[in-house]
Amino acid sequence: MKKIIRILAVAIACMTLQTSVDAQCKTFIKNVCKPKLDPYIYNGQMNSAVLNQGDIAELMLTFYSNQDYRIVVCADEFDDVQFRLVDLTGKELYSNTNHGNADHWDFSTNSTQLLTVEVSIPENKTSEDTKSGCVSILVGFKEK
Amino acid sequence: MNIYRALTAVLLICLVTACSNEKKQKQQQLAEALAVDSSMSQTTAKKIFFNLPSPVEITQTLLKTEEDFDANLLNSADNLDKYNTSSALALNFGVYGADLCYCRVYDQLQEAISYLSVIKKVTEKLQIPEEEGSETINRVEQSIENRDTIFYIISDTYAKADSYLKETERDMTASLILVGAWVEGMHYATQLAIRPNTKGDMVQSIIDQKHTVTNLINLMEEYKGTPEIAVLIDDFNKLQEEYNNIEIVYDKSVVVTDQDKHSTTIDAPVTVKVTADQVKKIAELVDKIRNNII
Repeated sequence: MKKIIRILAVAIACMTLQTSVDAQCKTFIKNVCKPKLDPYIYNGQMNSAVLNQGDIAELMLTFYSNQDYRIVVCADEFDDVQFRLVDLTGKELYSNTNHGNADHWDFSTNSTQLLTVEVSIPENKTSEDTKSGCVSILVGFKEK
Repeated sequence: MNIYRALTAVLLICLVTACSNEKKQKQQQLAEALAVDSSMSQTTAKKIFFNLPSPVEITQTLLKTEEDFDANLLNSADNLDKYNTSSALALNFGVYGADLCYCRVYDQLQEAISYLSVIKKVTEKLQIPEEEGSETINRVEQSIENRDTIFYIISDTYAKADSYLKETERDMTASLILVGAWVEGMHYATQLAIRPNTKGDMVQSIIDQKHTVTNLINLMEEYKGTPEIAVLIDDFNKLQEEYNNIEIVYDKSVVVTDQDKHSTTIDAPVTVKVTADQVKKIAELVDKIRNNII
């Protein structure tokens, strides 16, 4: 009987783990990521996901010509998150790999256009174990 | 025998967990399908996000005009009692948010306060807890005279609501709030643009929304199984068709990055060919969508 209870306890712990990971992700974003948007106004949309090494996430966003933007890319388990900004033709406009894997960057455009923020987690080439962690893309804006 | 019972129990628990994750997996599959079908991205992204402008951003973007304040453009607070479904409430949470910003842009403090009151009631009807909704709205009331502070707090209000709704797996409700705000912002812009003696140039602001319509449709596609949303998607597709008739040509962009300022400026000259009839048609389509919402 005790063994069954132990096994059930482990199973229930595994079930709640996912909920706990999501909650931790949200807390991490609120406490660590969001302050990096200051003095830009947060656009209010939580773009977060649990990603593995080798995964890619994309954010499609209209950059208006009368606004300046800050993109913050935040991760709790990875130090080497890469992000770049590409236009509709796929042309790379910016890559943080050219700037020390910066976790945030400011952007401005003189004509409104739809751009993609592409975030990628480098693959783990040294080990078969794949790490996963919370990754978020936050957007701030302010009038020019 | 005891081992078999324990394993059966574990298996049942795993099945329950799998079912609760089904919705998230379906959403992920849709995002992956969009990644494969989308002509905008050649990558196989695990997750794709489509963002819309917030009520503050859309108001700031579209209200570049010298027109006087016009209360007739706003959605009456009295209409609140008409909204009985969560979709209607969510859409009008966005609409009223844009109305609040419009009032604040024009320093109409009394009207702004009345919209605050309406927004509080909407958050209650949407069952958004006080600390995620109406409590922040109280801060707006206290800071109503400071425009910049107001916009920060309004953005914070909508951010908290968005976060809460997504945490409680009410992603559709979160998305509809932004849709409502966008429609209301477009309503101001298009109605001002088609006036005979309009004082401002709203046309470029309206044209700029073409890309947001694309994002909006992509965002709502996930919920097309809901009849009200299917109607909205249909109307937005007609709007997109009209936008596709407008010629917008971008020249080669020049990118300048300032390492010290951590900033990049994109200079992309654009040529737009649009007629008054096309703007009028867009106004009519937006009006139709708005009337279905309010």
